[in-house]
Amino acid sequence: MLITVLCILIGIPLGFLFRNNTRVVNTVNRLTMWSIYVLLFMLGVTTGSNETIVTQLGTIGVQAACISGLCVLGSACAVFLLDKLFLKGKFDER
Amino acid sequence: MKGSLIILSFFIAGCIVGHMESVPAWLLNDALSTYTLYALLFLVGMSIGFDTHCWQILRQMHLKVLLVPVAVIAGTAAGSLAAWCILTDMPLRDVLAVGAGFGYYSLSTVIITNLGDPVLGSVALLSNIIREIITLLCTPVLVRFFGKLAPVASGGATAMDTTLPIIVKFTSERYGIIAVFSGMVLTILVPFIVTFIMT
Repeated sequence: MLITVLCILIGIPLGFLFRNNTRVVNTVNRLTMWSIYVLLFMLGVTTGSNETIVTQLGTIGVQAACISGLCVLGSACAVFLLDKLFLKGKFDER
Repeated sequence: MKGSLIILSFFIAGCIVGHMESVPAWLLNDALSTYTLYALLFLVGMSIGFDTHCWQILRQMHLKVLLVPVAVIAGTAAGSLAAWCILTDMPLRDVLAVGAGFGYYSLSTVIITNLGDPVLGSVALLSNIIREIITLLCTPVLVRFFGKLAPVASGGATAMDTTLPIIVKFTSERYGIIAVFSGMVLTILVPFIVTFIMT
């Protein structure tokens, strides 16, 4: 938790320093995509190597997919209403 | 969409490799993904630094930004309630606890396995991974139908780290800051909320 926040906080001043250097900006964007690919691959390895999950995939999968799908839908609706009723696009750039 | 398909194929390739008989030990090591995550967060920090105007918005919105994680918690609870109505074979407590992971699968799985049963822990692990994957894959769709805050809500606790780059890519650096804030609040609250529901 502390380290994750620290990683972001170290990056911000460095990004600010190199904000006008197109080469750095492009490299950062490319490296970002590749680290996402690596992380997703690792997530897959963890999922595929867990025996309990693989053997009971049917029941567990349906329950998990149902809960996560509806939670995503519920929270998306909640922030949609929050934006429409209270914030009214206040967070958008102007 | 092409980006999402590439991400999905990396995940599926990982599943296949993970399920093989002889998985290289270094692949199962948590350290590799942990350090990749740190590198990713550092890169995300840099892209936040690239945008010089984004800090003004945090000053302008101040207290209102607190409403985002509150709405995410309320919406997730409502979604869990709906899931409980469909899954008739699960107690409400279990469904709420799984939902309250907000995508933070490592911690919520450990807590639920310790307080409840390992099978429910697996449901929590898978459900929260799916929540993260839905966010990674469906962010363009969510933005289109529910607005730019939707991926922040969908990502839940992961909005501050793993799903942050996707959120920034499809919304803007400003929403990235809201995502870090909302994700941070939810990450701190996950252990408390899950423990509270389970006991």
